[in-house]
Amino acid sequence: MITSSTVVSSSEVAGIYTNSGRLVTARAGTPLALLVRCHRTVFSNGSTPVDTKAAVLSTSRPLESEYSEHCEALSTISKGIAQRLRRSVNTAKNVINPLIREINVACQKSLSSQENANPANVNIAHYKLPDIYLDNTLETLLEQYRTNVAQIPSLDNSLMDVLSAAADAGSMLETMRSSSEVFNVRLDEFFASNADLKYSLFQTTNFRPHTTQFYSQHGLLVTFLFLKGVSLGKNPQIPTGSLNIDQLTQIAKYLGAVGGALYSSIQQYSKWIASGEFTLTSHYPDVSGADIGVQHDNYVRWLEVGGTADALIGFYLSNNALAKRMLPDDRNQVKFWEEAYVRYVTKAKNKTIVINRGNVEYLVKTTIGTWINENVEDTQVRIKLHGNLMAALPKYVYTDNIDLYALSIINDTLGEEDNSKDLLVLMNSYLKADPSMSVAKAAAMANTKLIARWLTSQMDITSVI
Amino acid sequence: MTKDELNKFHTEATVANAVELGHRILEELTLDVLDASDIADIKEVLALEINNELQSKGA
Repeated sequence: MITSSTVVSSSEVAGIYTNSGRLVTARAGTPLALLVRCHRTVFSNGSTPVDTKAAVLSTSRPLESEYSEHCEALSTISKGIAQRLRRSVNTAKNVINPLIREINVACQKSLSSQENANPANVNIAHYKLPDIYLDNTLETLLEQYRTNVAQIPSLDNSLMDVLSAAADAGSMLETMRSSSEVFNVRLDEFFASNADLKYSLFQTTNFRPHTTQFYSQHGLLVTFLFLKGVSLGKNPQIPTGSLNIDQLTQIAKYLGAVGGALYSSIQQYSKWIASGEFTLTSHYPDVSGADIGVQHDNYVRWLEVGGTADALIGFYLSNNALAKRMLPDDRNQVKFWEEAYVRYVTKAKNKTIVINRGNVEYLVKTTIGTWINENVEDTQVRIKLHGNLMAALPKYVYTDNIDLYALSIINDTLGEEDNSKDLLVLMNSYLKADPSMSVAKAAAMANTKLIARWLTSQMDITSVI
Repeated sequence: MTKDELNKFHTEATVANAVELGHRILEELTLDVLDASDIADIKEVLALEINNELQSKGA
């Protein structure tokens, strides 16, 4: 039975076609055709104009106490279609959406880990030795060790105990002071800006110039100044004469080796500064935590005359041998390496996209595969779904829409002839067009659209003019 | 009934049945899947969607 409110809302649509000489009919064999056929025959004497709207209404209604074929058909068809849509909604809600969410989480995780590993994410660390290293008093103290190249020996445990006990912060400073005020000021600054220097005492093994140890731990300098002071009787806890000959000999040998290494390192550092070079990467893998180490003063000077961080990174990234020298005032060189940097970053990005595509495909495959294994009990069905998944994967190419890509593959894998995919695609488009729309409303709109599509697929339009 | 009237009747009956069937399906879905408070609005939308779909068929 057709209601009068339906006739009101449908007559406007029907009018568009009747007024333009077109006939809309239900295609034979369809549920809609069955309904139309259920209308009772319209009787007319042929001379009185027929109110077709009223006829549509009346012929769908049963005569008094008569069985209505139309009512029965309407109820059966609507229940059947609603059941199909209900299944689609449940599949979308309980299977597809959770799977897509899981795939998205996995992809985001993978993407962020790749971004962190982006090779273009280069750090520049600045290195500069404290002023005390270039102090004249230190230079004078080191002068006698300039030719020493001996390996740094070890000290007896008993002597180490004596020296360590006399190395609290106050005693250390006292032991290292000299008659030079400039030196003492630099010494105070050195201690003030480098916490826990007492832990650097005797940290002189595995030392190489231009390593992070050399620039941050200062083991050679601290040990040298402390032992020099002890040997001169400046430590208040180790008075002159309290050490025996053997211990004094050990200290002298140790001091000689440390002094020689410290002198050599400072010489290399001074030459480095004088050369104008500032990069510290090529032969010094211990520059850890950063990709490029730069001598602060020379690097800043280079930036002032037109150098840029991008050019430095481009130079670093383009040379397997790594940077040794950047010319301080060559603008063309800077431009060249800036362009190299841009090229490298572009290449890295493209590589990331390719990696992402492969990763997304892999994550979609494994997530759906795991879902099948965990949720499908029947072995035969499980095998069939895995087969569907394998067949679906090469059919689709991931571009940049993970949801749509995953949705297509899930839909093919499940292989059900329902509308869950269309439902989700429509909901997605409604929510995108109007972000304030509720999910429930989007679901209602999507269902309505699908119903309209299904109904019109049963209609034919012909011209009668 | 003239031929014109018969054509008009067929068109109106076809569209009316489609709209009625669509309404019934939506009502069925409000039993568990759709929000019943939206049903009046959605019924209005259905006729428009049917028209849109017919237009897109090249009508």
